[in-house]
Amino acid sequence: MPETLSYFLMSWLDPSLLLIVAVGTFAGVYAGAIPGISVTMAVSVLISFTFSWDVNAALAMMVGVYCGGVYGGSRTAILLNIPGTPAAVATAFDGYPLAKLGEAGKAIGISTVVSVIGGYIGIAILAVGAPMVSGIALQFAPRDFLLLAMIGLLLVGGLSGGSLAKGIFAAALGVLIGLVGLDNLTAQPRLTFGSVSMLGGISYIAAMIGFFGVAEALYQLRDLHIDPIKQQVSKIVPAWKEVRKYLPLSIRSSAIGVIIGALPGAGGDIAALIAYDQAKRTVKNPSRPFGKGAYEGLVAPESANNAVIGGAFVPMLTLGIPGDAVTALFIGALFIHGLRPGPMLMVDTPHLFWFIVGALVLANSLLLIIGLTGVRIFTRIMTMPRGLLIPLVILLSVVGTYTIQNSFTDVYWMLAFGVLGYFMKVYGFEPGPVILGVILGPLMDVSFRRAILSSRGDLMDFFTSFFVNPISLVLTIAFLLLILNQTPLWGRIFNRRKATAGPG
Amino acid sequence: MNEFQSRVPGAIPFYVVLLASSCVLLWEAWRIEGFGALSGPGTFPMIAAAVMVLCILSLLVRAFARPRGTEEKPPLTERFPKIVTLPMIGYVLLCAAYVLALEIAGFWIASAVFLCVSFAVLHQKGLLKAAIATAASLVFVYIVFRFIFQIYLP
Repeated sequence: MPETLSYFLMSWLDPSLLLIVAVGTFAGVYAGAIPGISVTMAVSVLISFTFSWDVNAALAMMVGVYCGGVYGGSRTAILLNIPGTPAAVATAFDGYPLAKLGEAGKAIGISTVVSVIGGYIGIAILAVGAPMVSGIALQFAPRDFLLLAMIGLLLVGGLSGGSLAKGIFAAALGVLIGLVGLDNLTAQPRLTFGSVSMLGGISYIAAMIGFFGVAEALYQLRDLHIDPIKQQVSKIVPAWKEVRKYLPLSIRSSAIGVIIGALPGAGGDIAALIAYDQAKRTVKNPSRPFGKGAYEGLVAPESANNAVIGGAFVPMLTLGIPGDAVTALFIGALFIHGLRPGPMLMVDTPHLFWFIVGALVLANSLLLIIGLTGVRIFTRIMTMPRGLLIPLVILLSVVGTYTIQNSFTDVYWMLAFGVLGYFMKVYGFEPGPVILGVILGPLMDVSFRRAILSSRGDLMDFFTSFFVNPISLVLTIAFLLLILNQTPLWGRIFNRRKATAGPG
Repeated sequence: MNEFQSRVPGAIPFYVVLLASSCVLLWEAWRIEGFGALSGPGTFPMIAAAVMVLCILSLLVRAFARPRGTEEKPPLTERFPKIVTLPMIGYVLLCAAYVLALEIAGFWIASAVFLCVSFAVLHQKGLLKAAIATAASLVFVYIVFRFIFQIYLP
């Protein structure tokens, strides 16, 4: 226990780590707030700059950026009606009407406090739940990892873009990108088209920065000249009475956020929308009608999207399966530092887990201070013209990709992925499943082959093994239900049930 | 993304390009070891590539099956501008030229030219302001990357 506490407090007691978390959180708030720079983009670029650092320092910085970035997105949603991040989309529904009513300061204050509450709840669940999940995960067979990874890809594919076919296509593309190079088990070249330069594989950092950084920057080129509307921001520290009033809704929404965050692949945007929807359905007497400046419409998504952070870390640290796009990037960062996220991570390096938990609590606490101060400078930085922002994003992307392996080939890959990512985004293919595929592809490949080998190559034995073991059975049922959920049959079953229940 | 959800101009040609690329990837996956052992290195890439082909085929079938709107179709030249604009093509080429220039001229010269041209074209506030913004950006980059992150620049 004293050891655990010392790991937990490491970022609090070491001045350099404390400073790194603070700088990361501060940078995250501003990066998340600037429309055009998403948290994913900021973290993906940052990974490439921190790879030479000590693992604790690198993780401290990324944890800060992640926490700050998710929160920062709400600022622009409230003040400009432009969500800084996808997770802040639902915040704009009532946040912007509040700003138009002249209550921007109060809205920012309440959103800051409930974000921090959501964050603490998420981290508490992570601290309690992850060791338990990790214990169960130690009993997982290769087929269970295969099933989990497929569930993750199916979830993110189905939920992120609206079209399941597009989501699965993007995920499969990511899987193939992740498999390029020499096979880990047989050292046979795969998908290299005979090119020697591809034998080492495609850097997943190049793919991440390309799909999230460059593609997004090119997408922003389409709307260069949107003039932001400046809002007057008054006192933002909310009264305790106000906070207490919204506390039950905040806790309820945080619970939704944690659950959605812990589902492999589903992130803050989905959690915020679901929490907003439940608030709309359950709150009887909102302060104003929803969509017209209801504080409840602000509290629910803001609590949920910050609670997602803790939830998303659970599958990432215990199973090696990312909870959302940002935790997919964290997996990349851990690989760079020679660590393998998964069930053994908590057995081999428990200090790392408690260090992350401590850094998350610290970043979340700092959020309260950073969030409630410096609003004036903030409104200036936030309205930075895109004509200045886009070239800087490209420059950072190029430098970030190059520094990983000092390779210009990676930079060309990054640019190519950026152009492909732009077209995919335009035609409704989300980049999230691609990155998840890149990370999960090699894990799925190895799990699939090990599962086949453990069945001695017998297909019948391979398929029955999914139904014999209790863990595999639960995961198989979840997987099949998810597939069924995406077919018209699901709708028909539920419509029939509703029709039969209706008249009675 | 809403305006681009379903009937985006150029969706069908894009799907066709994706289908062709997926078929090439399937063929490349098959070349690893053909239909060998199930636990072989080629099986999983083939499954993934086949999934890509199936998904894009289903998208194509749905796109073709969708009834065309009653309104008159605008000419081809007017359908693409929002997706592939000339400035965008120009900017992608500028980015590629920047990466090439990095190898030849080094980081500072290539980045100075790239940023100055980009600011002048995208921000449109005159060359002098673009030059000042470039200088400020490069000072920022120098301080952050050389002192804080201590990384090797291209």
